[in-house]
Amino acid sequence: MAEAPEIKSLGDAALSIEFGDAIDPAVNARVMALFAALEAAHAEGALPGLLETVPSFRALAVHYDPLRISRDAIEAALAPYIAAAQAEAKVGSTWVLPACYEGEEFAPDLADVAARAGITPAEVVALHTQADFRVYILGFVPGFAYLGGVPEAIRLPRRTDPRTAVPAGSVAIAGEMSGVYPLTSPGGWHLIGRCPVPMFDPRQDPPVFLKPGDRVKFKAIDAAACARIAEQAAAGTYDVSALRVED
Amino acid sequence: MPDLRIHRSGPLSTIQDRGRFGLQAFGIPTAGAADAFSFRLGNRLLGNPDNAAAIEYWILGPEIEAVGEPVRVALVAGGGTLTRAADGSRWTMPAWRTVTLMPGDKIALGPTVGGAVGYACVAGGFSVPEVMGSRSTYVRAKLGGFEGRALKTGDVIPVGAAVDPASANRALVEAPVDGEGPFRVVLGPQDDYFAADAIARFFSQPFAISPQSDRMGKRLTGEALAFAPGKTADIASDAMVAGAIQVPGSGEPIVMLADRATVGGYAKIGAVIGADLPRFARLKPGAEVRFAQVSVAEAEAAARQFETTLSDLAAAAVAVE
Repeated sequence: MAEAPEIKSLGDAALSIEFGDAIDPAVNARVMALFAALEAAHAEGALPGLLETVPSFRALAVHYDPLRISRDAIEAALAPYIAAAQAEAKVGSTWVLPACYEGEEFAPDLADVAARAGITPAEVVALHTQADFRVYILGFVPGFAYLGGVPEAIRLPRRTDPRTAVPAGSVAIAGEMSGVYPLTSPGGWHLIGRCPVPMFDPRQDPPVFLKPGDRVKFKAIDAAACARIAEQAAAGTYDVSALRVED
Repeated sequence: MPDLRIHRSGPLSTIQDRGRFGLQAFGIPTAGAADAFSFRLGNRLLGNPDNAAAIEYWILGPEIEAVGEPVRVALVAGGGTLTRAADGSRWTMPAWRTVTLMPGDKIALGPTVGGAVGYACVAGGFSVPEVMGSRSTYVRAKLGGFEGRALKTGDVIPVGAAVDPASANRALVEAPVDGEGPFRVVLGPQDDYFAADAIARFFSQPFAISPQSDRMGKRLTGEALAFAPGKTADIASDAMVAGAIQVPGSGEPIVMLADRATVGGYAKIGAVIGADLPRFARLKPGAEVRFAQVSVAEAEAAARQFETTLSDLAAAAVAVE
């Protein structure tokens, strides 16, 4: 039986349910199990006063309206969900994201990553496409998913000279995390490819298709396929649901 | 339906409502009015729902002109200079009242009074498209508001409903007065990352608002806070709320506001309570602040008092010319 989580204040209108201090798949699985349970209960209107829940690596934030429910009352209402949430519960979907790992424009840091890891660029791509990633948390910018699970051999600290503008769609790695930049933004991660699927599209509902707790794999595509998908995405005709796979 | 044309835009004027909620799990920030108290009071002066979209401005706002039909504007936390189209006459309008602009009338908004932030609420609200359930502008992701950006000279913004110019304008009897007291804080969730004397010092020493402050957050300058033995500023990132007080490695706190990211990687010593956050958001660079620890139960009582104050002020408003 896992230890009961600690409940801490996050101001006077939210609380943080903490399952541990470290980034750990087992800890995160407990966060995601509770996230899924509370989302379902919220959708059914079972938790009056609850506003939204925000999962992160090792904690779940629960936002509520203090004018509708007191801290004591929300803690009491959450207790049975906390007790019942099972980390073994299957949460989320599995996605296969296409990525082009070719060329200086899409993969400016691939050769450097390979050199520092003492392997070839093709081996870096093989490691990245074989890895099973887990969506730990979305943040930094809308739709930026922190994907845990970079293989040991290519775990590198962030760049010492962060870029002021990383192009949208860049597939990047830093430490044990990988990610796809949803918007052109500053960034210090190593850019090893380009994913043409929009990670954030305000025209879609929801605007972000990856959810915390989902699993992700990458599949290598060539530049022509990448261009085709990018064209469809720009026109709003690309169907992201085709990227979801049974597991 | 009338429009408002923007002339001579201020430095950072954006369309905001109460914010974009329910999507923080996807990394989408709430944005929304930085000073929810002034914003909601302005809407109540007009008989709007609390969430009607308004222009938020900092120190100086744009000059706005009614186009097509009359528009009623609430001058919130800042007055303005009105120019009537009919005769070219100019009028100095105080804050905390509504004024009806006839087509062609213009009003230059600001400067703000009592703080750094002001609002121009309009009867019917601005009817820019809702994006993910909100009209708030989040400039960093070019989201919501008017074309996802700050307002510029020449913009023409749709307004929700024209008003009957014969109906009365309203004004507050007295401008709301900010208390001088310390900003109340609930500790957590990472107060255990700080040395005991650092927490004591946080609640006893003054801090100053740094000029490096914006809608995302306000930086504080003051004697650095020390971390507990074996702890550093870094945590495995977790969720942030409006008012969250992050302490990076420098030891100088940052209080997060409306445009904060959904998650952050620095230890949070506590959070300014909701009832005190509008007053905090209004502070100008250089202002001295102090903090006081309160319990969640005290914060809940303060939240109820906040709603009562808001309702009482709006209810006491009187008709004006």
